[in-house]
Amino acid sequence: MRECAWRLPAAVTLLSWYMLLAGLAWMAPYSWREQHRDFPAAPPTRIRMVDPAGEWRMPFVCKMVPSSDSVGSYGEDCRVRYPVSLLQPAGDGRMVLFRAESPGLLFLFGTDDLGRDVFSRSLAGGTVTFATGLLATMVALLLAILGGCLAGLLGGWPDLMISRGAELLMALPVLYVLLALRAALPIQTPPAVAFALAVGLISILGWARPARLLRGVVMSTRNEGYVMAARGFGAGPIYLLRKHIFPRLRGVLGAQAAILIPEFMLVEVALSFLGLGVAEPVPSWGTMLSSVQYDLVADRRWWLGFPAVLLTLSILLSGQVARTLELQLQPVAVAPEES
Amino acid sequence: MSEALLVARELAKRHRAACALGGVSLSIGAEESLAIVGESGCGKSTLLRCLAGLERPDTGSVVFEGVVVWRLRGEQRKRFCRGVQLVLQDAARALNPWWNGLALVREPMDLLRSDLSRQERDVVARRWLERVGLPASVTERLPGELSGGQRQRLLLARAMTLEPAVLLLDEPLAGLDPPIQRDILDLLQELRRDRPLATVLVTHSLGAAAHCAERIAVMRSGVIVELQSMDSFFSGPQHLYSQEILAGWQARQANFVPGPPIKSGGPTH
Amino acid sequence: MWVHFLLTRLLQAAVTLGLLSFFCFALFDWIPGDFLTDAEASPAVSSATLEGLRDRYGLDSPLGTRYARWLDGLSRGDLGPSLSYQTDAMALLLPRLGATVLLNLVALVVALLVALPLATFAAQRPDSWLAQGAGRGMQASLAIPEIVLVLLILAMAQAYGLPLPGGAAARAETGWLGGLPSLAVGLVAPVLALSVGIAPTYFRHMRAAWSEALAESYVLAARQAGLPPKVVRWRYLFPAAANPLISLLGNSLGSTLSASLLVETVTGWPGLGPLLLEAVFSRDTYVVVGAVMFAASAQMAGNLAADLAIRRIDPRIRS
Repeated sequence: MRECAWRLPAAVTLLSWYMLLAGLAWMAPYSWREQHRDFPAAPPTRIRMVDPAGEWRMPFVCKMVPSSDSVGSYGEDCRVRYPVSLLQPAGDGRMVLFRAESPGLLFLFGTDDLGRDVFSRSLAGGTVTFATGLLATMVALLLAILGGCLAGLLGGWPDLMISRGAELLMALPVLYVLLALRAALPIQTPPAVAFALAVGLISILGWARPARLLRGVVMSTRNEGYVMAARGFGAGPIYLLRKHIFPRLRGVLGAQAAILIPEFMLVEVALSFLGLGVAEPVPSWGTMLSSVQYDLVADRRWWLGFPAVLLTLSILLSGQVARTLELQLQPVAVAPEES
Repeated sequence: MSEALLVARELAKRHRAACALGGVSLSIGAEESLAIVGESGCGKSTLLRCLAGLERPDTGSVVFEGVVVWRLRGEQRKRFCRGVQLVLQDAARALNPWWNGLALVREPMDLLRSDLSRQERDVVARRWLERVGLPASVTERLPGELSGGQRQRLLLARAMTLEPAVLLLDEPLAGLDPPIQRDILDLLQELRRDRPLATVLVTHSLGAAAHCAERIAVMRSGVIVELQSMDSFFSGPQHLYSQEILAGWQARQANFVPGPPIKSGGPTH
Repeated sequence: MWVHFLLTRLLQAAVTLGLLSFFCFALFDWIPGDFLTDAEASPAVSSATLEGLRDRYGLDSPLGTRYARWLDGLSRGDLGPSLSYQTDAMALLLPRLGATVLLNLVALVVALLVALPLATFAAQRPDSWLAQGAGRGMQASLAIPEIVLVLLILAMAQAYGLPLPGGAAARAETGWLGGLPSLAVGLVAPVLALSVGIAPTYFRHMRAAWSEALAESYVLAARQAGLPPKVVRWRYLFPAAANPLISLLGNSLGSTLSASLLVETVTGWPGLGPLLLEAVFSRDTYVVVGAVMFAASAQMAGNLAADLAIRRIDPRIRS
């Protein structure tokens, strides 16, 4: 019962979380490719409300001064203040979430080696990762519907081929096979091609489990009395699929989507983490994290771990929603009740 | 007996290794009523499904109005479906649990009566629901919310919307209490009185068979061992197996005389 | 009966591996370019050398011939040459497979040692603070993606001076026995990263299975009859909970292997993962195929072992 009460909020939270990511990516303070060459590896900018004289003011940031002795260490000159404003139109016509009055700079989560704003890149990278997960899920589920319905309805050798194919795929360690397939394809590709390859490969490897589930549902539905009865009314396969079988699949599909999206997002992250997904300069949480490996502790640049926090939050939320959806969408059994 | 409507010739079918039908021939005339009895697993249901064109026999053929049923396509198949209707065993499973009563009763017409408009179909569906004695509220209910007897009536209404010439009934009384069984049999008789209708009733109860059929076929292990008029069956069954089941039935009748329901606290025997 | 089962499964595995390897070959064949494409671009390599290399590795022969030659080699325990290491792929891969299997086994054992006692305790005393705390902790670590987990462990290892396997492996080359201590030290970080990722799944399933078994009427009857708790635990509860646990073991091997690839790559554990990745980037075809074959065989072997164990433990499945 408690799960039921949380069902709607959970789904809404998840949806708004991803919409927020995509929306914020659009409203990010900087572009994901904009390099601030004078400010590489800058720590998060502090937003202050008290000026050196001890007076309260509207939020502002101080002028950032690169220190002369080493790259990546900065001082602040608070005699020069830049007020922070929310929801301001930027030069390129976008509405920007927040920004410091130029020429002030506000890096909420610092910058990377090339002086790019980690906050803006995290949002854009999240969009790439989420889009990969979402698209791969959609393609995989389409394949699964096709395979599951063909196998479940036709039976015989199509069923044998599809089921065995799915079992074969499930008997293999996904990441290894993914890497092998990726190895056969060109490594250096434009970002769009790499994105398409990631979506394609993930969905080709991922259709097996939902297809088997759907096949099971189709098979059990096909043997239901009411399907037999409809056939007695002269119903053809299209009618049966549309009226009796698809409505049963909807619940399974919803639950599977909720499970697969985070799973595929993680595969995308792994792929681009290993350098085989979308590549620089296009961000994805995976590529961003792969650079963290070396910098996180050695150079004490903890702020580069921000995408990891976002990723964990997303997976956490998705997991909750998947669990509640799974509970909700289980087919309702009809209470057998005799007079 | 009048001319044959539906004829089965030498039907044989195997389910994996087991023999489900071993050469059954049968003919059903217009307005005739036939009962098929036999223990469970003797091939009764398979026979009905073959007659309804839902299963294909391995050998032999089913002929409706002079045409082999399995070859039918398109309009001819529709004609056959409207002419021969099967009421499936297990009413709880034969109704899609997510559809309400109206949609369920309308489904056969949606598929086979494209000549009727949606409104007309609704009207016919409501009329049949009323005719089988279901309250109007059933249109909004799901099968899970109906009683077993109501579900069986719903199945009958569904089949009757097509006004078939032959109605095949597969164990329509299974799982129902005796008074409800009686009601269903009475309803069946009324339906037959209303219009020309041939019925084939598959049951394991001789009582039900005697109540509403003129002829009886006794099945055992996939073959019909005896096919008789009801009267001569009860007066002197030919086959050994028929004698056995008749004797068994008569013994039960003698032991348990169906009387008025026993009131709680009253004496028990 | 079980011989028949074993043979069927082995045959299935062989077919799977055959299809997979052929598919890899076909794909490599279909996509233009090979290991030598990069070499062609460099002016330092003469075209005669290139031709010689192509001839030597048979890169120009048709797909069928190459695959047949590979299969033939396979029957003699030869996985083909490593193009970039100029050596046998088998010689390269075997120690790596050993390292991967070692890491996975140790991580699995550690995870089970932590998860199972906790889970049985949590099932028996669901209201105790330990059970509650363990449940919360496991749920939290289940939500952390493996990749984040590895990075966290890496950061901690660097911060607290824990030696990473990269260096340990180098020292281990002095000899198996001599390298053992450093090997053990090198295992700590990757095992930690891997087992923290595995443990919650086992915890959850074991807790569910154990509390389900506790509610079974035959278990209640046994307790009612006054059997000592130890007997009830080992003769009644454990067999009932073992079946779901073992099937989980079999089913989750694939994801454990995939997680292990990430862990190995990040922490520098000399397993199949880093080698595969390297081979992918240098288009070292035979090494890629070999590594995938080994990983797939490892998973299928684990699956098969789990199925055999279940058939042994659960009398209901044998028939």
